[in-house]
Amino acid sequence: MADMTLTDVERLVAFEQADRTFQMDEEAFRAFYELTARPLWTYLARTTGDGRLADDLLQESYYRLLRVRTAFESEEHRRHYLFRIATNLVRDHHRRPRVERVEGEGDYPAADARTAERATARIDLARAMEQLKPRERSLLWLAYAQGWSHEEIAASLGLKTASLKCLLHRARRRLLGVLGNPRGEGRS
Amino acid sequence: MKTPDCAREREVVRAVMSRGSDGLSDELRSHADSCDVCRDVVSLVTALRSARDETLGELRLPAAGQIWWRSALRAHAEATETARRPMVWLQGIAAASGAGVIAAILTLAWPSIYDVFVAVAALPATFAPEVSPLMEALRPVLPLALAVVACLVLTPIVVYLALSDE
Repeated sequence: MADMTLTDVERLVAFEQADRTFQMDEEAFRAFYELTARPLWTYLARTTGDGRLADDLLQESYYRLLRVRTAFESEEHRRHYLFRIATNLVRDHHRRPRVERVEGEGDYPAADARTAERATARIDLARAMEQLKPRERSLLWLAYAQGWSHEEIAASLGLKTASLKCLLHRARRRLLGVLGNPRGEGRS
Repeated sequence: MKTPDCAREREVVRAVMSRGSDGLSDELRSHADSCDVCRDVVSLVTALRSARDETLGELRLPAAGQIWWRSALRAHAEATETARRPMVWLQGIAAASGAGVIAAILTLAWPSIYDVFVAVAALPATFAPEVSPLMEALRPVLPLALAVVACLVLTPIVVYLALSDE
């Protein structure tokens, strides 16, 4: 202990206090993280179009979840709350003044394209998603990439289930319209 | 205008997600081909699921322990900053109160202090008459000069006390 710097001592204090500060202990967090991290990261990456930003928002989402004092009824409820935090962070990010970024910089890692067709399709989808509003991206991703029910999506995005059908329909038509016409002309 | 809807949309989504668009039963495929909603859904689920699987395959997530560790440090830093804030306010209030008390004392005792200044200023005239004109010229600004000297002496002490850890 005598060899430790003050920073090391502060770290030990921080870890010791974490279980009391956070709404779950480390073991429970690890289990929850294993279940939710991958879907959450892909959701953030696809709705922001930026892999590095997704890394930052992933950390921020879990931090805010750990600090919240809400009593969750179930793990499903906790998961929905996590995605709600993430959605709000994405929305806040889009509201900030945008800095023009170099195309390709920070994009989620490009796969070695096994075929040119797959690479092209992926780029087309990514570009099409960029033309949608953030909420539209969220709706489509949760519904058709992660297979969530309307009730789950409504709980995560803070929407009414009754209005979700209409919103999803519009988002669906919009994405298909953009995919069919990459320059953004035509149907919405 | 009523939103187009299909009661089998969810069934189609689940089927495509689990078996792919090629794995649909003949009956379900026939339905999807004839239903505008489900036809769109099959296309989108296929595309988005493929994108998701590719992204997941390339994904390198930080470990749970790393997320936990960073969160713990950040929570501790924020708690420390929150605890320190009232002390900063109290120190500011104490300094302002002290300055006010000193100013009040100086104001009340100023006549006596000024007499002392005059007596001190007269000393050179007693022991060195040649500087008497100089002292007469400096007399009006003597209080200001003494205040500046006091600030120059006290400021380093105050700054040291403010920036020291204790």
